[in-house]
Amino acid sequence: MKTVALPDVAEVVGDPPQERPWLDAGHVRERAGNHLLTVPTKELWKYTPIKPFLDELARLSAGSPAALDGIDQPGVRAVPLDTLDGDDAMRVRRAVSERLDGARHVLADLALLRAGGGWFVQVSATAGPPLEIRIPQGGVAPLFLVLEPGAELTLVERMDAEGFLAQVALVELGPGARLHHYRAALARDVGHYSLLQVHLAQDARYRLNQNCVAGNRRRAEVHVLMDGPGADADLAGAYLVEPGQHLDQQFVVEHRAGHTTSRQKFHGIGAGKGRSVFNGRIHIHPDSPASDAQLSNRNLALHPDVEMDTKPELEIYTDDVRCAHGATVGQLALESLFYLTSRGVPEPAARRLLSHGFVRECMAGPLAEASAVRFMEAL
Amino acid sequence: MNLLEIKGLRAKVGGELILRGVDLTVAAGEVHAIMGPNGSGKSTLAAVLAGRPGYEVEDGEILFLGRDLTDLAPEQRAHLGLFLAFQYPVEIPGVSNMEFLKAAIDNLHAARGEPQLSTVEFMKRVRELAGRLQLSPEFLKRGVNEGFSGGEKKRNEILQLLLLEPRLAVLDETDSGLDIDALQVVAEGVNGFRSGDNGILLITHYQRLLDHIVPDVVHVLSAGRIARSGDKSLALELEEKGYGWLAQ
Repeated sequence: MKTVALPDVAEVVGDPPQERPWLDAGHVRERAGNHLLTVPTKELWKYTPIKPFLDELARLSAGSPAALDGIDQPGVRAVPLDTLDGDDAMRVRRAVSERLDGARHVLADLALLRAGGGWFVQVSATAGPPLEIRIPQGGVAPLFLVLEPGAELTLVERMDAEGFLAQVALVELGPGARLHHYRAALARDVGHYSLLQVHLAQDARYRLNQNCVAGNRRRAEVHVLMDGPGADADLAGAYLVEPGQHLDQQFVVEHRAGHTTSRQKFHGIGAGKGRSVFNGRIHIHPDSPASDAQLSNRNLALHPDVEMDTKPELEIYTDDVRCAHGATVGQLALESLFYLTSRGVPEPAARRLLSHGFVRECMAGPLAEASAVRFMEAL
Repeated sequence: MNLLEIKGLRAKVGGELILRGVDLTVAAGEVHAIMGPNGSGKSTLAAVLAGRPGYEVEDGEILFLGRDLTDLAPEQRAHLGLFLAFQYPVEIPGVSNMEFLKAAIDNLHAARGEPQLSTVEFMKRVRELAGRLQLSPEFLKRGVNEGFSGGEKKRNEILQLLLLEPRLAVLDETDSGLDIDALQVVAEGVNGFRSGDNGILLITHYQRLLDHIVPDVVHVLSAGRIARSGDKSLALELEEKGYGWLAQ
């Protein structure tokens, strides 16, 4: 196997790293450095080279590219990370140091070390209008979002930036909190890395709808941790691979408490000679009885030269659980095609309609229409 | 005027000869029932008429309005005015009924050079048909047949029949899986379609459907051929005696 020399951590993030109240830079830098050394041996980066991401990170100029709408409302407090101090800063510092899995998300550590801005958002009630995030310019966009017990929020995130974008979002849902999260990355020919890590306390509920178009290189890592009993997560979305594009999605759902439920449903379409990597991992920890987890990943390979890799993984350490996973790569169902053509819909139009329906099944919320239109353009 | 003329039709599925010389003529205004035991080729006949992939015509002719159908794609057959109500209507999640029905009628009108229905006209028509067939207006927003009960699926087939107004409707066991009330609704829909200009080929196992949709001619298909034809009394005879006596 050809080995590509990776840059040293100092080449990516500078030396010495910049200390900030919200980031234990020394610790994070050391962690990133250690894990970067092991990347070439890891399955995690087997299908997507990490080096171009490191090169992009090294070239980034610091600055916060994210704009937030909907923060001026009761129950929502948004503070730029630059000005964060006291307990808030400690909270973020601890989250990064203690909760972020540096081995799995090494790029997130490196991105945080390169961050020059970003936001801390605390929601303490049921928010009215959605919180909307736009990221017009490339850069590093960290977000630390805390929903206090019983709080509820709709978060709408457009992840299309001019230039390379690295996003790190750490989300904490307190007991009974509810987050409805809609994300879309619809630009092609872009470089993009994102980590979204969500912790759910007891009876918290998380809904994610994430629609992605493959980019020059796009890597989307989603890590959901069910920390409290009764937590419930539902992740869904669609993706599209166009010619010459690459998309790598890594989903991890950890059940770390009993009576927790997770659902994952993702549909992808390969519409050109490109590559999609989908890794969906369900991890049921010991002492997590009555965990209930399902993962479904279906891929439509509409182009003969598209490569669509899918790998569901189950790791179970508790007996009393319900788990199901399934992954397929295939073609349009001939029976469905016949049904439509028998009603007078010409075959090319029937294929488009079915492909559209296939992804539309996994799209929901305020970005669904824009996502569907974007996907249809490619089909 | 003959709508459909089938002459010496032999057809294979998966290499196996199922239809072994079918001759059948349906004139405008007529309802023909095709009955027969399991495996006699009833559904194969329906599939071959509609052009289902995998069904191969080995010999014979299918003339529809004087035109040979055998080399036409399913959509071309639909454009000419042929409609197949499926025995097992397909579920297509993600494609709403509304989107599907609009695509179907727009393509039919375009292929025939007829003006398109406006969205308002289309909605009005579909809502009216849904009401007639006791389908909730909400069904328009749902995926095609997604999560529908057996009865709802069959009523949706009849809704499409009434919306698309074909010249010949082939109903493949439309009565299967229906309770008595649903059967009544479906039969009323089919009878509402019936006119002097169009025809119906009704494939069924059971005489009970023919109490509601009274056929002009009843055929018995057996081992891939029409073994007997008669008036509606033939169906009653079959109900009484079964199919075994035909082979004697």
